Amino acid sequence: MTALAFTELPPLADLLHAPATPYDHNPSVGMAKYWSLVSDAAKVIPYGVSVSAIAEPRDAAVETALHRDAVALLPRRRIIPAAFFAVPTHSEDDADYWIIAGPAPASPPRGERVLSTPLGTVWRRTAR
Amino acid sequence: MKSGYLWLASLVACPLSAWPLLLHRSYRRFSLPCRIGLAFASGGVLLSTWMTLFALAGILWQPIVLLAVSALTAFLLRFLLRKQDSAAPERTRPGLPAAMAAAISTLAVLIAVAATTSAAATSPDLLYFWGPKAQAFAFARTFDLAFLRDYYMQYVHVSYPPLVTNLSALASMIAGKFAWGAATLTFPLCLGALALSLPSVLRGIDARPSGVFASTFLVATFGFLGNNLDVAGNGEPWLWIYETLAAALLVGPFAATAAGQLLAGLLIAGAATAKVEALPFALAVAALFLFLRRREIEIGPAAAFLLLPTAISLGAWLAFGATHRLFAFYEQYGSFFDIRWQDLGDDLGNVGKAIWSAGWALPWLLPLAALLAARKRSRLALLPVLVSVVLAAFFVFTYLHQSDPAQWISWSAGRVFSPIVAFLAVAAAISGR
Repeated sequence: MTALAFTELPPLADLLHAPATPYDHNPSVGMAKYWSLVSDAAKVIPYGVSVSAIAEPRDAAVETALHRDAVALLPRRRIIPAAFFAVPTHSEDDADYWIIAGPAPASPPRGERVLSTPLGTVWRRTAR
Repeated sequence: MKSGYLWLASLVACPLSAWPLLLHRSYRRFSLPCRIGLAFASGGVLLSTWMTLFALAGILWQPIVLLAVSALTAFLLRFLLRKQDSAAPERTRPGLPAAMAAAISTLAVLIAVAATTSAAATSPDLLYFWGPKAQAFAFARTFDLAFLRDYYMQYVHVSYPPLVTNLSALASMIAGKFAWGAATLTFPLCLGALALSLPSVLRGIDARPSGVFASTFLVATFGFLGNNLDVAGNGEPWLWIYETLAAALLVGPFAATAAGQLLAGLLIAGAATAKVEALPFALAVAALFLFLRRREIEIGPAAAFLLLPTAISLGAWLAFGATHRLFAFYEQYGSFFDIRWQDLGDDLGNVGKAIWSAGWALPWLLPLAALLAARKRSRLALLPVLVSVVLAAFFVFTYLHQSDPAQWISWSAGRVFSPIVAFLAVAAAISGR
């Protein structure tokens, strides 16, 4: 069993470098990517505000996962789900901040872009 | 990074809180490393129980107060023990088999550390419910009612028992934040505590090398399964330590004493409050112990020692849920009588596939083969064997309530069936006497 456990380890090079996220070797699509984006967003989103995490292009299944990432990684903020159990909530307009996973949308949301990363953007939204 | 170290180091509160009990002469039959491992496990139960009772009483958590009342409880529990429970300290002769076993166990724990620190073993459930709940509880310094009542928090399994989230919240309060990387390291930490304690517990039932190798097999197997099934940061490592040690204690001679029963009762409570599926374990293992060993024990006190810790710890959690109108009991997977018997073949096939994919089912097949090949059959081996049967039946029964549970089975069956590995290994060890 010890030999089997050894064969399950990642390659030596990966063992010698600290992972960027706790999900770097997780087979689930997007876990490490969304972790990185939401962790970076946590550095520019202050406590006490409301946040919604959305996908570009829009995808209710991805937004369900992003909501859970945001709940975990953005403590002390009010997380407004854009989708819940893969059903859109249409509540994201109520949020003070948007985290957009994926490319910047063709028509930018109203407000100011406060963070840009290869994985997505963070927007501070202004009142209508 | 520093908060991560502090988060992990704060779990030393577990052994510290139970140490006054484990210092009692009754437990000197075990080696010092064993008593440290047992104190880690039983201290976690004391701390978690007090956290739940504090929340029920509306008292905010303060780590130093929790440590003090838990240690005081451990001290007071000593008065329930009798002098005749005492036994001579374990005298071990560290021969070549014991040295080999210790070396393999150490290697298995180091591999688990490598798997965890390289992010290969992290559980998705850490992100999806264990972590957010613990984090919210730590900020609130109690069970966060606003969080638990939020409609959009249903996915965190509101009614799930509290031990893992309590201990994580305690560590987060001490460290000042929830440390995600440190939380994943609870997998090798629990594995290490099991490696420290299990050899001495199993030597109590079998002084020959087979007892030592059963312990090493379990540490190596859980090290493999932990990475294969991605359990770092979730409840399985805690369940493994509690269920394995409880089963091993209950088939040994020490379980005939009040001290053995009290310790087993604390471990059973740890299992029952670590994961939902451990409640049938708690009921089955206690009932089978009382029946199979009825001639050696006083039924009333033994039942109290075994079940009162679970009744208090889990009862406090259920009372918290009921008094705050959060839940009356665990969430159900469909209506109890709505059983899809027509899916039994498919579901069993899917369970088989899930278990096969975890190392060709070797973790289950090897101890089963050792048990079947044993020349002598101990009547007490029935205890872990029947617990395995009860749990397997319960898991399949649960799956039979879901339409098309193939995907659910594929990601959960390996984990939920994993404690059965320990029960089969304990049965094999006791049969090999």
